Amino acid sequence: MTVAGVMKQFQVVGRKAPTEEVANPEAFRIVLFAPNAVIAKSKFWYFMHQFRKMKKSTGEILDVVEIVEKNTSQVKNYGIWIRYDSRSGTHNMYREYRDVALTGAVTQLYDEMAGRHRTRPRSIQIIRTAALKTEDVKRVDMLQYTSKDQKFPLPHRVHQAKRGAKALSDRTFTTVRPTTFFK
Amino acid sequence: MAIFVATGGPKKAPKTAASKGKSPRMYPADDVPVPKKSRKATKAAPKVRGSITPGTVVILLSGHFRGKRVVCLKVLKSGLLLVSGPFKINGVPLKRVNPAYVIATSTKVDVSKVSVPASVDDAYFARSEAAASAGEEKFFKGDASKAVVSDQRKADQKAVDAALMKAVGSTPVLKQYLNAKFTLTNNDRPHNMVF
Amino acid sequence: MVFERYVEVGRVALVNYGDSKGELVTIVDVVDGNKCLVDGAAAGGAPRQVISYSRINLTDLKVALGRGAKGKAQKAAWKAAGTQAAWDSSSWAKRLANKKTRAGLNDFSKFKVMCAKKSKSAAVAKKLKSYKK
Repeated sequence: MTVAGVMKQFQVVGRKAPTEEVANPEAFRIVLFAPNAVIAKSKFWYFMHQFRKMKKSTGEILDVVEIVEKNTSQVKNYGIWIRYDSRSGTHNMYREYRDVALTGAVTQLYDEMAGRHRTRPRSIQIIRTAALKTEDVKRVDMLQYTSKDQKFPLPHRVHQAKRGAKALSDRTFTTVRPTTFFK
Repeated sequence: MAIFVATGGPKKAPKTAASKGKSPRMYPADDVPVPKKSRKATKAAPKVRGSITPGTVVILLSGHFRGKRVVCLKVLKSGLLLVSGPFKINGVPLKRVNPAYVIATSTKVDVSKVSVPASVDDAYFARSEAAASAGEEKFFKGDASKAVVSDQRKADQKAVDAALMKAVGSTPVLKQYLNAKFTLTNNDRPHNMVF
Repeated sequence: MVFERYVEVGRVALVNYGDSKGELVTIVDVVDGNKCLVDGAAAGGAPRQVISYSRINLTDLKVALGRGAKGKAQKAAWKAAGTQAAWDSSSWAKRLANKKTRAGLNDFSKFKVMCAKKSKSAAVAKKLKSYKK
């Protein structure tokens, strides 16, 4: 996979192409994450090839369906187990994200892996995902947002653009210091 | 042996024997361009956008009076607008303007009582031949005749403006508004403005 | 340096960017340190969405809400707290409303505003001068 972008969830079904000996080969189904159906099919063959003696040129895709999350009105905790290839080896990893949809959490994961570990999407394999109950959240940085009466100020912000002017942060030169304190 | 044919002088189409209903015996030796005849019917007056109606206050954008807010009195046959300042308020006389060069505002003046003389049409504003051909030579010599506003025009202006001034006066501040010039200042975004 | 406005469930905020710009929303859940889940059901009807903190401005207003509250609960909470009225009477809201009216004025009305401003400042200056003497 070359690009990440906003990830979607797909269910891809495929099998070996039927022959005279095997008229009805066994079909396989993989649920995976990809930015679009084309890449989903490509990833299907990549994974299938590792499990069975199957490849694109001798097989066929029966079905590609995008799985859309129904409830996107609540924030959920997601745990994602991955395996990725770094420059020096292969690692397993478990990460947690908060989002309204699993695909959002997976998108966050790809972005974060790129930022923290310089890992490209092609070297990340998602092993398992799960929506977690609050008590099952392990990571401290996610735990702090699950507490019941959490609140925090937004202490340091750059002011928006004043009317007719560019935002302070956008200007090349300015004669005023930005106000970053807001109550 | 060479045969000489009298061509009858320089390039001219031979006279057609139209009178006898016959085509000419010979084709002309040279092609003489004949102006194309337009098959189009007489053109209808251009449409003026719906925001401009009699009584609309429009902002002039070009010419000597650019920036002036004037009252549109009617649309002439040529598609040009007949406007008046009124002259007494902002110095704009009865004149024709191209609607492409005005901003129509949403402000309307009641011009139902203003009657424009029937003589005021496109021909009324046409420049006289003499005025058009007044060359620069004359101008620099200083003996070009000065444009004189005819008494007829003065009378028409008076007649139109009398009723128009009454209509303008019935709305407070409207007189000052028409007297003021329209300008853009800093942070004015014409595409976002409401007129 | 004490803070008065917090990111928290029930906090009312004003969206300053995007399709819902200028609409009031209620924070119904905190996603993480960069974004939260907001809902405009009780106010202008901005859709329930995850939004970045940089795209909202927190207000002084807060309503009592449970986490992830739905539209009905939000409306009830707003009504109970009189949030809309409180917002409308705030100078922030008035300024925004004023700005909106001014932007919608036609050319003649703008001129009238200018005249009114002029006469007002003239009157003020006159009065001021009388005190100086």
